Amino acid sequence: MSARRVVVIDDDDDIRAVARLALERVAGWEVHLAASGPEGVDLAARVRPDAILLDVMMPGVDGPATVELLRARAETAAVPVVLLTASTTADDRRRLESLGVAGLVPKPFDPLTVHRDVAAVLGWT
Amino acid sequence: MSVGWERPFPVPTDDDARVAALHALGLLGTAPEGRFDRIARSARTALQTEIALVSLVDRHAQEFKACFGIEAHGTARSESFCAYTIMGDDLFEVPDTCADPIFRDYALVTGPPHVRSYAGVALHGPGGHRVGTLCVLDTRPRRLDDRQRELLHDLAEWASTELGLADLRTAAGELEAVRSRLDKVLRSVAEGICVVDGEGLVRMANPAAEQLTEWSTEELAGRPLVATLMGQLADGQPRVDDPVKATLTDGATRTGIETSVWTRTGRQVPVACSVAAMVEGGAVTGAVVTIDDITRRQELDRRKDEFVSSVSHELRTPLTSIRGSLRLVEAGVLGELPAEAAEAVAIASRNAERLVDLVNDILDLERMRTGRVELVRSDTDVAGLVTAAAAALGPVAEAGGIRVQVSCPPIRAWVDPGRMHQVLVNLLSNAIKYSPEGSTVTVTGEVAGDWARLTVRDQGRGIPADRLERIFERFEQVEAADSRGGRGTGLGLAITRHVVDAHGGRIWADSRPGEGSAFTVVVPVEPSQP
Repeated sequence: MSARRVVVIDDDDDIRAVARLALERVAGWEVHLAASGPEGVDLAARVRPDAILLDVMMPGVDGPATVELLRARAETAAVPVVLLTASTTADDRRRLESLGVAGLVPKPFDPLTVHRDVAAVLGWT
Repeated sequence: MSVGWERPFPVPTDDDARVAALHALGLLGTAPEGRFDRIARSARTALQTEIALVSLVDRHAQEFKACFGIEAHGTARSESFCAYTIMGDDLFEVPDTCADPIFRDYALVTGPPHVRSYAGVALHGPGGHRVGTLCVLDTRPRRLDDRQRELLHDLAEWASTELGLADLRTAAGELEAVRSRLDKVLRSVAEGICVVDGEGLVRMANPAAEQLTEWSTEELAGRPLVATLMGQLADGQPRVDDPVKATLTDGATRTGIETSVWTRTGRQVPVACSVAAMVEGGAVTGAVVTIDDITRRQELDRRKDEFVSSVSHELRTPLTSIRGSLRLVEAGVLGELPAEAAEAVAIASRNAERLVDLVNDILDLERMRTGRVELVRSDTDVAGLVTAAAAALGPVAEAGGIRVQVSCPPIRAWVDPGRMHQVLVNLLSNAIKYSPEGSTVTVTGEVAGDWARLTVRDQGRGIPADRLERIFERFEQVEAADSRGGRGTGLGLAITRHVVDAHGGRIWADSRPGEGSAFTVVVPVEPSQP
């Protein structure tokens, strides 16, 4: 698996830090972090990642709203998005999947295996 | 008469009871009454005597309830002729007091009105006690002839009848007092109380019930209680069961029935009801229904649940980073740790897992309790689920030296496979947790009619009979589990029961202490008809 470049958008500092360790140290990916939706969109427009890992529940601009921002911008419109969600109900899942994202990865995630879940959703080999 | 000396008088053996019976009449110290005056007057006229009395003989004195021809309203018992009369039912007569060794120096004889003759008949009060007399006295010696004696007996009989009526009146007064006390109690209790007859029709409702239902007692009277107040369930569906009819049929008391009362203006009030039968002569003649408004309790419950839910959500985020960091350290991704540091990290990690499980279980249970969990049902291979659950817990069982035996024919059922897997894993891990080393846990499956039936049986210490139901409540654990599989969250069985209930199924436990326990789950095989 070649070194992938991902942007992680999550409002919780510590969860971002764990995600960075997990994806850099375990998976060997190049990780860029953003603490909010708008910040993540700017960052993604700049670094042109292979994928964006996006938290659903964030204050202010939440996950679904961030997806809209990403789609509205030329540089990020085509970047696949993986949503990190704590929701387990079928209704929530259907609603999130209908946003036109690559898929969902459950939160809380296991840092040792989360890269495999993300890769599976994205069809990376 | 010297001070301190009292003339002796005869005392009947039943005097205490007799005096009590007299007091029970409530006539002592009361004003003259026409009904006794008429009798005394009749005696005086018919027997042509100067004095006629209705005398009530108390412990130390006699009191004249009716008196004609005499100033006094009573005398000491020791100065009373009647003290002798009440010794028997025969007419007592003193034809000439001055010639009588006992009576010749009585006050009534030596002083006014200078009584020379006496004739009296005892009057019977409650319990047949001789509580007084009807008597005639004269200032000349005389002896009644047979006709006059008969007349005095008849008039005494009449007076006794009047005493009986007084007795009845007192009883009626006491009944009224009891009724009034009961009424005060009914009025002061906060719970609504309705009394229904054998047909389930309202006979009485207390003010709390009136306030709760917005119906007055008069309006409710004669209406069927359940149909009028509880005709619909909380969701507005028509009620099919009738707890009042059920109690009227079997006489059993029903408590803790949580349902809704629909008030006169159509307001819905959540209530807890109980129904107790009224039994007379072995037959159920009606029932008392208490209706308790639980709006406030439900609101508190809801707030408490919300609080638990939000705290759990808040715990989840920090726990995610704690657990994630520990996993990374533990796995050596960030470099090798000294042995003791690795041990400390392992402890922290294990307990972080426990907290995560607890928070997840609380949130899961919370969602189910509030009906926010929907089942994703499909035509499911139940035997496959059993095998998968047994396989998932294989390592735990093996570590504890416990054999897991599965016996399940092919069964297909319309269930949520994920949730049923959770049920089986919960039951199996409990069974393993509470099993002694070297024992066997068996899982059996079968189809019984329209139901799939799964039983998980262990050979552990068993569950006391009084705990069999309670273990399905939150945080109810029978005993500390053996270390196998670690401590549970105390929520597994509560979640399990909710999942089974959501499937329209049932779960229960059977156990004999010392002989292990069996948990049985039944769920419908076919999709239920909408």
